[in-house]
Amino acid sequence: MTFEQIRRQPLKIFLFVLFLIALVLVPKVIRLWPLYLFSALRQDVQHELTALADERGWILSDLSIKHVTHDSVRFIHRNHGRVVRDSACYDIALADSSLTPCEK
Amino acid sequence: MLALYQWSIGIRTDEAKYLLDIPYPHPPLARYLLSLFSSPLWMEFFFRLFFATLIVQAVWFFLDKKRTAMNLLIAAAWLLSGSVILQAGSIMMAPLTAFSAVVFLWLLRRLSFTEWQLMLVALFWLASLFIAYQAALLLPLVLVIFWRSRLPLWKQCLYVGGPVAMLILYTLTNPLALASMLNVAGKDASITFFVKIFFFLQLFFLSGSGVVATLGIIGLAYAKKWTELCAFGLIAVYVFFSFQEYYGILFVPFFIIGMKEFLPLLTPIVRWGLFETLLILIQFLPFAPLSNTARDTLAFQNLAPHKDILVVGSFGHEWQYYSDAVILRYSETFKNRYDAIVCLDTCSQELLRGRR
Repeated sequence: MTFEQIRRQPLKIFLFVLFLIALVLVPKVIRLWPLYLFSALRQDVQHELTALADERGWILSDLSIKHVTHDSVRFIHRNHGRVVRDSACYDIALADSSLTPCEK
Repeated sequence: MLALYQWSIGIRTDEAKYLLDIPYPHPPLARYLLSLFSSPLWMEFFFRLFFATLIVQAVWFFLDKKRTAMNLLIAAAWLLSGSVILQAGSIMMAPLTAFSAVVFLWLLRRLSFTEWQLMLVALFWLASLFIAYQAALLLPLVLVIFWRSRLPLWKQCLYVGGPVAMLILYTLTNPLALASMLNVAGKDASITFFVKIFFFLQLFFLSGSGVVATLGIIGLAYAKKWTELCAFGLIAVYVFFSFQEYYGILFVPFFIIGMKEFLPLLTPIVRWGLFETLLILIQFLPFAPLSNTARDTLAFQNLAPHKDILVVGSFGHEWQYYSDAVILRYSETFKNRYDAIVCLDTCSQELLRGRR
């Protein structure tokens, strides 16, 4: 496709931009979907993360939820700061609140 | 001067959220770009200078090519508005949304666009939404820009609705942002209606230094600028329910549009009287004290990045910004070791034993 052909199709360019954004976001939404569908699961996840943050002195905004199932929650913990630090991945089992490291 | 004033105050908690790319309350576009360069402390002043320059130079969008005396008054109205002076150098999303409002108000006055130009407007709309959620309040302006273009309705829906759909999709990937919005929504539930009215009116008049606010709204109503009034109304409702002082700058672009309609009705002597009134009113603006607890406390700490600082009491993200060490939050169940402690509330002797 030549530049001139591209220039005549602004809508296709715009839709392509939206498609790229959706391509990144939709898989993330699918991995978090149970959180929005089930209020009991939502409360369990909130309780587990809050309790864990209280125990370790973590700030809640340093936690980023990546994947939710009825059995477990996967999240990333990263201490935000100007100094770059490694982040760590964890799985919490909702049945017994056990915490295990995971690969990011 | 504007950047210097804000730099003297130091980083506030909301600014730290953007500089550290903390994933709430706003979408990632601006905060991600800021976080790429925020590591050296001196970058703070550069960012403030950039934000202040953006807001100051936005005045060109209001000026006409002719009528130079009127241009001087319009420029003065923008530059001497309370919220512009108090917020132009702040590293917040509200000034960026105000800049988006300025651009959309300017686009609203243009009579015709090619589809390519409209596509660029749609991309700017997308970028505005992905900078801050409050840009959604500018929807009436965007709708009318596309409605007047006479594009087929389905294309208008794609250009206007597509970015909104992407924003909704992004929000679903960030449950923390949704939860924080709900928390903020309930935060002011205990404040009475009349107290909210008082705060709102105080901010309304302060943002436009009294004169600009009053004449701006009268001008919008006189000229029957319904689109602008509709967007202004949305912003006013939003600010009323989720009051923050830094939202005042969102009003000012609309005040200026209103003033442009009203000023020609006044005699030159009255116009110059308004200009002098604005100059006098600046001294009564509520300038913030030039101190910052986090900056002043952490200035002398030399803990390495792998060390821990425990903070007792409520604190904001500016502590994470100013500290090289890891900031930990104290709670009753907290049992970890730490290398230093900051007591914003009363600390027990057990916590203080052997610590600095």
